[in-house]
Amino acid sequence: MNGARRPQITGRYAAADLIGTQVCAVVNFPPKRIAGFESEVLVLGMDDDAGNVVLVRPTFPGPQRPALY
Amino acid sequence: MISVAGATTIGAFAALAETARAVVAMDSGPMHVAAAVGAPTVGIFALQSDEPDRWAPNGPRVAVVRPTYPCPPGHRKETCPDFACVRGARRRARAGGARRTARRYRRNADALIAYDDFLRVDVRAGTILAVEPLPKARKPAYALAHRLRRGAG
Repeated sequence: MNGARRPQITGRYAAADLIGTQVCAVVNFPPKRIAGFESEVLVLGMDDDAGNVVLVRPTFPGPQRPALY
Repeated sequence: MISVAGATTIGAFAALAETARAVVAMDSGPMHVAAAVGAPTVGIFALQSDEPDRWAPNGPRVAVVRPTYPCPPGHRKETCPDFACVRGARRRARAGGARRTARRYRRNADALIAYDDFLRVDVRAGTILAVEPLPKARKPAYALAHRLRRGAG
């Protein structure tokens, strides 16, 4: 296990639906302890009206991509 | 809001404008000085015959106020008999405009970053390999397994 993200990602995404999908994340924060868990990256998302996370993803998934610009 | 009309030299006004939260000025030299030193500037182009499209200062922190007073377009600064348009502009309205402009442009200035600042944030895309619930999280959350850590490939 490598990274985590907090507010209400469970609202729109079931665990099984996330596996194999791509997300974008900030990878150069220092590690942070969250809920007894060493979080290493910040997965990027935005809140919808209901306070659920909507993930930011590449529109065309592919192999792991280099840095965002 | 204080008036410094006629009270400073150009240089002293520039120094003052630099520290002001906002400067409200008629279409005039001081308006351009304020804009040039980067102050949030409200330029009042009060006469219908004024041409802010041509004469307003350039720059991102300039707001232009146009008159609602229906003076004849033939009235020019040089010949206006009474400047009723300026007298009619309520002091409180001008102050409100200055406050709004100061707020807006201060927020913008704080929010502006250089491209290099953006590049310091290392954002990568990667594939989620596994998901587990995080029962101890205050809000429902998942722990995501991935290969995104720097250097992890």
